[in-house]
Amino acid sequence: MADAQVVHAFVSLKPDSTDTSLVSSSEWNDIHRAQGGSSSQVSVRDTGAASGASWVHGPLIQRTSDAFNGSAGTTPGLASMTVNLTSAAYVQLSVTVKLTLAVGTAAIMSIYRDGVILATGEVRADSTYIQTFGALSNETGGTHTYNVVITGSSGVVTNATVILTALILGRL
Amino acid sequence: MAEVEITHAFVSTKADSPDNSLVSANEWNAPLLIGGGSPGNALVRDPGQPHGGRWTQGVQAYTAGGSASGGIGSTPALAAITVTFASSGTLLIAVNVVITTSAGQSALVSIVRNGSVVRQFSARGDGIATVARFDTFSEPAGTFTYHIVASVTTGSITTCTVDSQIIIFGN
Repeated sequence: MADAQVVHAFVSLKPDSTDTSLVSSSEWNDIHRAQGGSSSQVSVRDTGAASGASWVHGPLIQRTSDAFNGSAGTTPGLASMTVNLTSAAYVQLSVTVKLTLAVGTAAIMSIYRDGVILATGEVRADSTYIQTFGALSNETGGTHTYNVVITGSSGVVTNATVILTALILGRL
Repeated sequence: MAEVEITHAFVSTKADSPDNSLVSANEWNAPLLIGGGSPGNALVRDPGQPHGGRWTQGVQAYTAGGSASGGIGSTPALAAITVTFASSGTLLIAVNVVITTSAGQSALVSIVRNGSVVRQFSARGDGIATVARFDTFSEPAGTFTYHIVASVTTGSITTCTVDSQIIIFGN
């Protein structure tokens, strides 16, 4: 991975001074330092910042998976995922499930964010993998936990496999 | 949100000059100012630029929903989203639909860009929510409007609910 290098456009060809307290050619020609923010953050233009730019959360994908086996009208939270956002960010959540009910094929899936439903709707529960509806959460930063809950409509849930994927993209 | 600070590697410990028309310790040690572009743009390396980098479209997300009902052969434009790219970039769209047709048959869903169909695919018509499509498009700089239309060739659409999510970023 290449190091980011910001330098003066003008390159000094003068001999370097022996006085290390002075700015001479080697200090002038040296690569600048990027500071502030934290590892993996990316810079974006921010006219509200004194320097004109801010660090925001770098692109990140997180994935969790979970399986439920038993008999429950409503499963516990599955595929729980905690994201730590170092800035405001968009979190795009995609869900893939494989569901089996004791009776029928109708279930309700809910995507939770910090214990509150973010999206909910009917999904098929016919023992095949399907990609369900997803959700887009516009976050202001901080730590958030997402999970998925399945409720059987036509019968109790006997098996549930849930894969939760989050695409995280920082923003101003 | 932390500010970007780009500084000289060498820190001058000399006393600052009282003549503020001169570059002395304070001017040398101050973080550089970053200009050009517009708020939210992202900085990318570009050896083709005079200064080695350029601003591109930053990450931006949009959501929109819409619904139609009433025994129709085709819905009006639903979940319209207008996006503006400051530079060329990529658009990701997730189209979540719930469609109920009169006979439970599948429906045809179209992603329409600036009035022209750019993707078309079938979706279940049994009233169960599904991601009908997760797709990507490359766009030049400019403003574009995307919307969704659902239709059937036999029977009619009883209800149709669309929830679209779009993320754009530069390249």
